[in-house]
Amino acid sequence: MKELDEYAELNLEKVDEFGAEDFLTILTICENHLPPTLATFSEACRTQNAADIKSTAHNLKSNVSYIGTTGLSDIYRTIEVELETLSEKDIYYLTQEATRRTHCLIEEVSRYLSSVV
Amino acid sequence: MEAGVDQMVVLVVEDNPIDLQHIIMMLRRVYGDGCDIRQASNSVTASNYLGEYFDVCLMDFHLESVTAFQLLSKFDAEDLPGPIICITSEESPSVESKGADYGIADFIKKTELNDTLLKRSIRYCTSRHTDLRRMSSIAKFDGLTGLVNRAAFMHRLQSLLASDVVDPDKSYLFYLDIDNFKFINDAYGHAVGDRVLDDLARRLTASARNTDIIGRLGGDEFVIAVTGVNRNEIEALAEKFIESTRRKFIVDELELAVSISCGVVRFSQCHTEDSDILVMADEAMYRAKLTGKDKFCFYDDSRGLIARNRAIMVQELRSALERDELHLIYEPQICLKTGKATGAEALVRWLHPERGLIRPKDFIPVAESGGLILLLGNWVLKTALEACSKWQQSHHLPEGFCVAINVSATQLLSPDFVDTVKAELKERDLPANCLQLEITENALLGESAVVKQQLERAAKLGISIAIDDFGTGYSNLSRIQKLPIDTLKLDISFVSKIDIDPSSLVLVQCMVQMAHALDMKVVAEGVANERQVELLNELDCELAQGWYYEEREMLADQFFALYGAELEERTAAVGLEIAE
Repeated sequence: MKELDEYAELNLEKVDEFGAEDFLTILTICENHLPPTLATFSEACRTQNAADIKSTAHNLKSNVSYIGTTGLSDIYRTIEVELETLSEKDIYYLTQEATRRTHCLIEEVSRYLSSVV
Repeated sequence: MEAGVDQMVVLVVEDNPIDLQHIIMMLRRVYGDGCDIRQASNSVTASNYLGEYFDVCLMDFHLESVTAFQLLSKFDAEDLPGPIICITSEESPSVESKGADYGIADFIKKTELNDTLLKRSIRYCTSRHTDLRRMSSIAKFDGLTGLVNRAAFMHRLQSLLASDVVDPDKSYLFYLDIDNFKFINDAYGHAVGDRVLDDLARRLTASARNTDIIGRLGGDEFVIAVTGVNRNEIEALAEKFIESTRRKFIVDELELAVSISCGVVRFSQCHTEDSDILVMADEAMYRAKLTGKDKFCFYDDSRGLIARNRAIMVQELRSALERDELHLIYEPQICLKTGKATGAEALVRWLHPERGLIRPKDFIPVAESGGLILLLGNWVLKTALEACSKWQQSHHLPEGFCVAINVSATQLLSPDFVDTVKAELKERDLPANCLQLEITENALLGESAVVKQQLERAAKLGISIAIDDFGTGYSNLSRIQKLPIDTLKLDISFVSKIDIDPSSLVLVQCMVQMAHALDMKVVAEGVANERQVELLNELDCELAQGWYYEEREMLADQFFALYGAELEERTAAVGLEIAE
């Protein structure tokens, strides 16, 4: 249980679904590709570019769903689908929360890969 | 499956590397080495791969700035080798509902994707796609020859005509039709006819290039669309198609000589909005037939209007038959000895709602070329016999009273023609000798064995057979002698001059004598004055018809209003005059 407690965003139950080898492969891909996508998302939030927010949220929604907890994917889904109807305050809160948790996920991915290697 | 033995080719169209890896890993888990994965991460590569073989395509909905709909709109779903399964994070419900329009077989959400779901979807969609392709094949290809059928050919032809990359000055449509194919079917049966069609399809395919589109419109009509051909090459190409049929067709023990007539239209000749290139090619082909068969004719631009009018007239004539716009008029045939009517010739007229009365010479050729002659011929037969039956019921026709109808070569070659005539007579309880079939000399020219057989069957029933317009066609007298013909009808062109031109009189005299020597009666057509009647009487011509006897065209009721009493009188006298 100690191991699970160490990872708040990375869903280690996925190891069973993927198999150990595939899990490492997908984590490696995520380690390389999640940071630039997240950077694009953050920049879109900063400049309030709705189209870019939606399109990157759309990508991150599926990307994080493979390795992360469901809650994070759901936040990206809410941002993508409800961006036009949410209040500015809610958008701010959700995008901040999504960014923070994805950062956390990326860190956890790196940590996990380092620990395995 | 084309990759390895039992390997399924899976095309994955995905631009997001994480999603792509996720799908690839899933495929590996589900199928192991049983699948050959091809990846496309941009729309150009995807377009190329979609044109190649695959068993299933897993496609993201968004690919760079292009959607799956935009990508798939370039393809016909039924032509794709495998089904498209959209694996997407798309949230809009309308995307899924529109998917079928673009041939997407299933949608799976990326966030819900798992091994079981993917495997089930691929199995279901590939099976369904196989069925779809099979049905599509049935719908697009001709079952007998394997060529594209009419609908599919027209679809492809329209695409060529509308294409910007096809040069209409270098593209042609060939319309090919087997000469006298009906004879093969009638004489040897449809199984033999089908083998000839199949062989011809193979010969044409062998003569054409891979890029040419060859189709079978139906029956013995074939079409070939060729592109990128210079004008100076086109005659050689047409000749090549025709030449391919000149080698004998071997069907079991039979060796059949077959020829085709061919019409050729250049795409650029089809320049007006209402131009129908198929009608134009058909018109050119028809001209090839009329001018000797076993040859090709180019579409003549100056005949465009004629061809269009002809096509319109075919449609109108079809409607006219349904709407009762046709009627028969009756021209009495008079015994020259007694001056009394012994029968009538039924002549068809078309009262067009807009163009007024149209003469047979203007619409019979259209009926022949437009495939309506059998319908029209049957209508004439039924209507004439119906009138005869009414007269019989109200006036009791005298023995030997005969209504004559004109019969075309096409009718004579129809295998069930005599059976139809027999059935129509029986239905009205009419004796066979109340009907005379008039055929022209030229109708006797083709397929002599079939025509002879039909005429012999008709004559055996008691139906009278007359040669119409005698002297104007190309009769072979020795053949006429062998046919069961009992009446010779002298053409108006001779009869109308016997009172003014001595040579016409001599000709008519010779023809009457010849007919009598062959035990035939003679009917003089187009008699217009008393002097002609006198001369014909002197020549021992038995019967006459023409304006001299009745100036107006009489409908059935008018005919009997005029001749009914006289005929009744003669019925009472039990046909004394008929015996003469």
